[in-house]
This record gives sequence, C-alpha cells and structure tokens, in this order.
Amino acid sequence: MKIALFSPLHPMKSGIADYTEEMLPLLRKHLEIDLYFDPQFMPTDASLRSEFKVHPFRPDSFCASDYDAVVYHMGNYYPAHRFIYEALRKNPGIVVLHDYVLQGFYARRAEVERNFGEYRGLLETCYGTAGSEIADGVSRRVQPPIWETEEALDFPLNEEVLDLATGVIVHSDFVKNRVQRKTAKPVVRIPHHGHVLKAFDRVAERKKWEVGPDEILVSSIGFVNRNRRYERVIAALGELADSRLSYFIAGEDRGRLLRELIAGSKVRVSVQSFLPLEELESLIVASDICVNLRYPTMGESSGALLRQMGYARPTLITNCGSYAEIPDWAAVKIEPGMDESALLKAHLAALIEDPDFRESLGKAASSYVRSECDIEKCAQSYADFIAATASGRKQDGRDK
Amino acid sequence: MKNIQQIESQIQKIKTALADERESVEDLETLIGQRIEAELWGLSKKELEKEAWDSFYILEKNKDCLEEEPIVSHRKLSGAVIVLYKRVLRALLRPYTKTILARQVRFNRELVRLHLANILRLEKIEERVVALETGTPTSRAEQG
Repeated sequence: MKIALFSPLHPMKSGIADYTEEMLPLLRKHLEIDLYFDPQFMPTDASLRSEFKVHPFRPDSFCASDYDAVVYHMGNYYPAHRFIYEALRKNPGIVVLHDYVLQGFYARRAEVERNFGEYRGLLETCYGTAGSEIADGVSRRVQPPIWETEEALDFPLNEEVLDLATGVIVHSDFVKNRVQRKTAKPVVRIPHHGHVLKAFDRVAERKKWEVGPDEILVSSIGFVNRNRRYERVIAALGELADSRLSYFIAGEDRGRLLRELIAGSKVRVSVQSFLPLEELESLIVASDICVNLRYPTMGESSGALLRQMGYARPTLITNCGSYAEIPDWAAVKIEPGMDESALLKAHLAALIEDPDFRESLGKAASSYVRSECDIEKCAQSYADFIAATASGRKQDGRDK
Repeated sequence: MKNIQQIESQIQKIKTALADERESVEDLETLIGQRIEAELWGLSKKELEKEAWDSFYILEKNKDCLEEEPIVSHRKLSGAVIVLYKRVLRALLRPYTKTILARQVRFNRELVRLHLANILRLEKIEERVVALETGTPTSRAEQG
C-alpha cells in the first residue's frame, strides 16, 4: 500500500515533527511512504531523504490518485501546518488530529493571510451567532482568546477539517468521543507512542546541568503558554521555600509570559528558550521531578509528557482531557481549580521528601508507557486503519 | 520500592488530607462571618457553581436595604446619648432615605430574582445537555 504523508518535519520546531520522524521508520515496515513537506523548510534529517521519497508540496503537481491513501498530520501551530491544511482542502484524506481545538490555527491564518472575512464566515457557518461573537472577540483581541479558555472545547473549529477527512486518527478517548459526535466517518484512537529511549548516565547529566547530588531539580518542557499553569507551579515551588530546589523551564516563551513570574519568584528558576532533542532528553533524565500541567486543554496529547514518563520521571499532570486517561498510579494528577496550588505544593513536598516515592512513581510511569504506548503497536494500528479506510473508500467508489 | 497500589494510596492520602483542610477552611468562613474571596478564573465548573450559589445567598440576604440595623454603642456613659442622637437623626432622615432606598430595594429584588432565574435556567440547560449527550429522553415540558 502506497501513501502520501503530510507532516511537519525538522527543522520545524514542533512536537509533531518529533512524533512523525520517530514513527516513520516503523511505519515503513507496513507501508510505502512518500513524504511531503513545506517547500520553505527542507527536511534536515539526512536519513529521511535517503530512506523515503521526499517531495516539496506543490499544489498543482500533487496527484492524490497516485496513492492508495493520503495522510495529514493536523495541529494548531500555524507555521507547521499551513501547507498541510492547504493540501487537505484540495485532496481529502485521513487526518491525524493532534489537537481537537483548531481555533488558534485558524485565527493565526486569518491574521497572516489578512483574510478575516473567510475566518468570520467559517465561524458563522459552524456556530451561527456564537461564531460571530467569537470572531468579534478575536478581532478586538479580547483576553484571554477563546483558544485559551474552557469554552474552546465547545467551539473547536475543527468542523472543516473533519468534513474533509476520510477517516480520523486521534490519541485519546476524550477526543475520540467528541469527534464521533461530530462525524460518522471512521475514527480510531491510537495512543501517542512512547519514545525511543537513549542510554544516559544520570550522574553525568546532572553534572552537565550543574545539579549537585543533594539538590532537587524540577523541570517543565514545551512551548510556554498560559495553559501550562507556570504561575501556579512557580508559586507552589516558592512557597516550599526549600533551598535544595531549582526549577528549569525549557520552552519557547513566545508571549513573554515568564518574565514577570520569574522576577518575583522565591525559587531559583532558569529558562532556556529552545533545546534540541538530545539536550531536552538530558534535562529530563537529570530532573528529579517533572511538571507538565495543561489547563484548559485543547484536546491535545503531550509527546513531552510521554518522554518524561518514558524516562521514568515522576510527573505531575492536570487531571483533565486526555491526561485524565493516564492511570492514577502512573502520574500525580492535579485537579485544576481552587486547590490547584495547594495540591501542587503538597505533592511536590511529598516527592521532594521521599526519594522512594519519586523512584516508584517514575518506574510505574515508565512501565505504563512501555505497555500502553508501544511504538511498534502504534505503527501497526496506523497501518491497519489506513488500509481499512482506503479499502472502504475503494468499496464506496465501486458501489457508486 | 512501592507497588502501584501503594503509589495510588499515597497520592490519595495527600488529596484527602487537603480536602479535610479545605473543609476546615469552610468552617473558618463561618467563624469569621465573611467569605474568603476566590479567584474565579481558575475555578472548576463545580466550584463555580458553589461560588454562584454562595454569592446568590449573600445577595438574597442583603437585598432589603430598608431593613434597619440596630443602633448600639460600646461606650459606657456617653453611649446612651450617642444612641439617642443617632436615633433622632435616623428618624429625621427617614422620609428622604426611604424615597431613595425604596427604589433600590425594588431594584435589588428584581436583580436577585433575575440571578435566581438565570442560575436555575443554566441548571436546566445543563441537564438537557447531559440528557442529549447520554441519549436520555427528556419530556417536552422539561425542555420548555
């Protein structure tokens, strides 16, 4: 079976690029894959260019009928998914929906392409008066924007993408249930795969990050957004007033949200705007505790979280959306709301004081990722779903 | 090394301890006779519901601004004079304050009623959403 695959690839700074590039070697055991990329970003991984047919996407020359199926990795980050969306609009195919809410993607598209009318039109078509109110809010730059609120799940603006999809792949039951309410097309949940782990010497990695044996390193990784709850994490760590503590945040702070938070912080906080994967993994390994909160959720699944858990780090997550599906013994799940800071503080204190708790939770996390998010099983599920959807479409074509 | 049951129970223990502490905070609110204000933006749906009802009861309790608070004084000797002076002043001003405050009372009553109607309406809408999501039939009367 031959497929065309559209996905962000490195050098694009995107978790979905990491995801695809890790999955590709396993997927090619089942499928013949042609990779399509944004002509502005030539893939940097030489092995991709040698092992796959790699094409810059040109709308006029792309011929979907050359393939049994076309697969699109769709997410919210406009620069990474712009060309994928344009391709999908012309050639419907199987969509891997990495974010349930695509509001951010469309709003950014309207801004970059200076076509607010089309954006407003889409919102009104999907949601009527409520849609036009959302458009008004976005045009007036009302804070917080809808995609940073709980309301986003009710107005995800994924309707057009779901209409164009011939089948949908999602990573959680949370998203699957919501998608199934919107479309009768085939939908499958394939968990976000666990990552291929490298061998690290933890003591050496800690030295590299200048963390002493008695110090406690807490870290968070990923783009800095409001929904990462940094104000709560920094406040909780500050309240612990423990001189052994330091907090490392690795992620691009596009909205400069951290500057003020760090200025008044009572805990040592270091921020590194972007780390290459190798260094990111080294930081995870060097950490004693990882924090990966998301609220409100956009229905995303976090690759960074699976990396933290995969490397057997005890991790604190938010008990909402797809994260709520992680078992209670594999991560500390913090309920968002009034007690969030207190819960964070109490659990951080317990983890800091009890090395056995840290180690046990880390090991449980890693065993969960190994058993539930096995990358080979995920690749097999991809191949099965793509084959079933493609044969279903061929069948439909013959029936017509 | 802890097994998964022990991990789960340790996490649950921390949560339970915090929930108990929270209950004692609610007692504290009763004790100090005023509410501890919460940042609404960070609250979950359930907590927002509680906040909405708590606020509503406070509005309901205070809607009648014509209802007079008793005049008292903690002073021993001059207290009786001060109380008398205030009573006279209040009686003299009553016709004027009553004219203004009667309108305020009407406004407050309507506002409290409107809030109650909206809270109840929201609850009915939520029930309908749940019924639609779970496929449980609701009667036309309930829908109306």
